[in-house]
Amino acid sequence: MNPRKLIITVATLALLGGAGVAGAFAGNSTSSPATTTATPTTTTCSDDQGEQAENDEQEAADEVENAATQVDQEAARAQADDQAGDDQGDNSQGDEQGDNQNCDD
Amino acid sequence: MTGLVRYRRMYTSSRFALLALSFLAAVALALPAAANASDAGLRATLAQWSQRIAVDAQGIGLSAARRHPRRMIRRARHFRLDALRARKGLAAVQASSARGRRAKRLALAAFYDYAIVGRQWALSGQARVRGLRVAAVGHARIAARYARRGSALLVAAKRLLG
Repeated sequence: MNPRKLIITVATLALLGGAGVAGAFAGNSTSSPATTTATPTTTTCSDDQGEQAENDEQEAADEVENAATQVDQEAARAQADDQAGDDQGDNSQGDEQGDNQNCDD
Repeated sequence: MTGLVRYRRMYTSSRFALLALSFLAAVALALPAAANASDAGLRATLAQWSQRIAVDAQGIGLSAARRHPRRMIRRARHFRLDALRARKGLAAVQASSARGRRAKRLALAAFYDYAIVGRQWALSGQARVRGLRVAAVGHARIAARYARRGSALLVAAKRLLG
């Protein structure tokens, strides 16, 4: 083979290899998408953590709408509030910790 | 002599053309991978914040059902903060495709609506603590309206990202 042709072939292969490596790095970077952003630390309540719904967005939408319905119903209800239970929450540590234990309100 | 010069010139230009072609091929191979990476990052960030919002909303529903308005107020404020943080987090992620950019816009709008929902839930709880039932119902209704709209936007964003 002509040495010039060989050089060109090697250069082409090197470029293609470089592109492959770049692609692989780009692919890997998706595994840590929130490195530059605030990452939410999600706490799941039940032991079905492994069965995390594939469609997190649909689940979030459902939960928000359910909560909106609950708040609406309770706001309209004339029944008195549970003062004792509510006050217990007031001495609790803070929103962060309280909210991470949403399971048992 | 002229023939030899012409041959050399042709040879040099074809060599440059080959190099340019291989460079373009390399760029063409690298670009789609980078685009997918960026949209995948957006999808992952959206999923993470959706999970968080779902957990927050679950707690608010429980507080409301158990008639704990003060606790509900705190959680509603936290929900609002999380919605705003989600917006900030999503804004920092660059979408690479047109679908990704549209999905990002929808998701940002969804979390903006959720921030309003959180605010209205907190106001509803405050009104309830003060015994202002009509005001509590009014704020809860506004929250429900924004919750429906935000949820529709969130699901649409997810659909676009696939």
